[in-house]
Amino acid sequence: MTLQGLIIQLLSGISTGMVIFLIAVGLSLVFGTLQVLNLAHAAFYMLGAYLCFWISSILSQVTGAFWWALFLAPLGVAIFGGLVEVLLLRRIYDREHLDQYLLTFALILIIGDLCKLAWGVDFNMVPTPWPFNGPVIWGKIIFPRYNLFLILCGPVVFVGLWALIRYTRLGKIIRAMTYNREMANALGTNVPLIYTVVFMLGCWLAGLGGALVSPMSSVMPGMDMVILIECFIIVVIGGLGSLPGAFLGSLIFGLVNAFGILVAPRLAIAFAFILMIIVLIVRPWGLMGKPE
Amino acid sequence: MKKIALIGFIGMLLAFFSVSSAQAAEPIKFGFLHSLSGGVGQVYGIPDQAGAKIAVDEINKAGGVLGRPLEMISRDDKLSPETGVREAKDLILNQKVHWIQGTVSSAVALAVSAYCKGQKVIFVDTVAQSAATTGEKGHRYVFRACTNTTTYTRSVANAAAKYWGGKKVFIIGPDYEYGHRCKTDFMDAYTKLVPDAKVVGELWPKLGNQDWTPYISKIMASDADFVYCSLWGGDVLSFTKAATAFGYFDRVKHCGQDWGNMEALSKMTKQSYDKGALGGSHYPWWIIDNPISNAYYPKFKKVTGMDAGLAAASGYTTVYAMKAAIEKAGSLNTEKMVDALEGMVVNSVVGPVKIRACDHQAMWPFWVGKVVFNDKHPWPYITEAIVLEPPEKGYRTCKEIEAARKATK
Repeated sequence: MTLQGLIIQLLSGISTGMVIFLIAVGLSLVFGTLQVLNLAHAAFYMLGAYLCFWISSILSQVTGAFWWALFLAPLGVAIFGGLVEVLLLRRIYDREHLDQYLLTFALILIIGDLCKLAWGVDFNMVPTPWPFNGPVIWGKIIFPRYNLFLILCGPVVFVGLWALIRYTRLGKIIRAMTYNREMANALGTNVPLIYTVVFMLGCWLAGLGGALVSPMSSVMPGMDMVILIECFIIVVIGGLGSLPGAFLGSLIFGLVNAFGILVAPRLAIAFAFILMIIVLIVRPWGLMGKPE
Repeated sequence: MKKIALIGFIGMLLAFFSVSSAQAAEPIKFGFLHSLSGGVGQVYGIPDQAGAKIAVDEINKAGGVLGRPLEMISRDDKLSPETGVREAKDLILNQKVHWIQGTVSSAVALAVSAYCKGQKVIFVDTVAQSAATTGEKGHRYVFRACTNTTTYTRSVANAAAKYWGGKKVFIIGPDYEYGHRCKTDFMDAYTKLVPDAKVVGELWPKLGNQDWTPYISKIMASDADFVYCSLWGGDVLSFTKAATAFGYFDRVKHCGQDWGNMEALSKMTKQSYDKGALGGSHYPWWIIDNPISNAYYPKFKKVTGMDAGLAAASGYTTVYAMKAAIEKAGSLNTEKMVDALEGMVVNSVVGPVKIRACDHQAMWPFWVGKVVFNDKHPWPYITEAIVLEPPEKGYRTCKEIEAARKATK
């Protein structure tokens, strides 16, 4: 294996990690604030991919169709998520975890079937958007432009979210609520509204992830389940509810996957799980999480 | 009151029987058991069903079989062996079908085949490809009217040796029985043509993998002469797309049976693939020139709006093969129909295809050629195709089948 090969594999790993970060961070954020493990999170991701496919094919004659779709699809998912929160999730915050799992699991099936009804069961393709189609070539290093773009998206979303939580009023409230829900409520915060906003933000991130993935893969039923498991691995490694944890977890996951494929391809899928098990034994609250 | 109701009921029963016996010719029923829902169903089950339906309509219009019309009863196996067997049971016991045809999943095909063996009812596999169905697990009542994995791998190996002939082979395939079997079969066939060829790297992604980047970067960093790939279905699309973003097809020689498979490629856009791969096709109607095919593919397109592929060809062919078998047997006696099918030469869309007596496998040819995307068709298609001559070369010999069956017993 040459140095160039290692660099390409490194970039591949980072790009895998950054895509999955966009999705995992939403799951983590929603859990941190609402204390609900949203099993349907990946279904929102799939919805984002389908909306992106749908909008970009409607606008296929318009220049920059994909960019419009990238803007609109996550918004659509966020609005749908808002409806789900107000109509369904809101009723079960006080119930047991099992009830929450049942509801969000049911949502996986419902959203999956809605996607099948709306867009059929075919595999769908979204063209790679200009100016990111084709590879970049530096000497012997060849890497897809679009993946470089994805590598940029991860840190941008990370910094944006971090700034939102650190510096804005909404961020302060979110942090206060994560810290102590009753006290925040007693101090006059409109908790239900904040819950809706945070859930919508989580869905927006899932939708953004789905829209960004669609040009590098195919959009099809069942694409959510694979991602869901990977998201769980990441939030367990990084720490459920932790923003830097999700970033670190995603990066580790991407690199372990890429170098696993390089070194022992038969075990590549297992490596991430092994890492998760080690974290669960040594630091059950995750690398960046807080022990309860 | 009760008496009147009873009499009324008996009267209705009598009326029903007199009506049904008044019908001159009772239809000959057969079961169509396939995956009709889901992505796989859309790509294979639906076109197979449409092709079979076209054959049924043509035959009934021309006077049926032995003066009786054909009636197809469709069932969805939902890609599950349990559902497949349950539906087969209902088709045989309640619907009294004379044969069952279909299936795309080899797991379903093997389960239905085993059930039909017990019931002594003919089962014709139309799309499922596992060589075991007519090989190790073959029996008197199972037939196959399409290719199998052996001919895929032998045909691709033959074309790879003719076009490229490198010694260092890289393998990528889905991580289950099919992918691994393809690797073994391919290397067996290829090392017969290029004796000192060896595998220099292998990758086994899971089925339905989404992010191909790390796999493609690994292949591109290797010094392999070419890549043999057994991915299929949606994986072909997403792999190709990610590979094109790497400029992969300009730099890597890539071959695989499903890279010419219209069912998958018809979704491809010009931007996601250009040229560079070697792929295979079961029914390249743009190459084949025979009257049956020339009449069939435009008709299929007109009826379904889809371009004909493997499933469209085999479902249609099977119905005609069964018609020929019933006419040759002169009855619907299963044993006589099996005898009639053994060794029969079916005039199919791909030309005359022999159903071999020893394993009931159709000697269906498999075309392998350069996959290009130009303005001629709205999807990538194979050109400069090579076919094994005669098609028997693509299949295990009767002796090999016999040995394999003995070894598994």
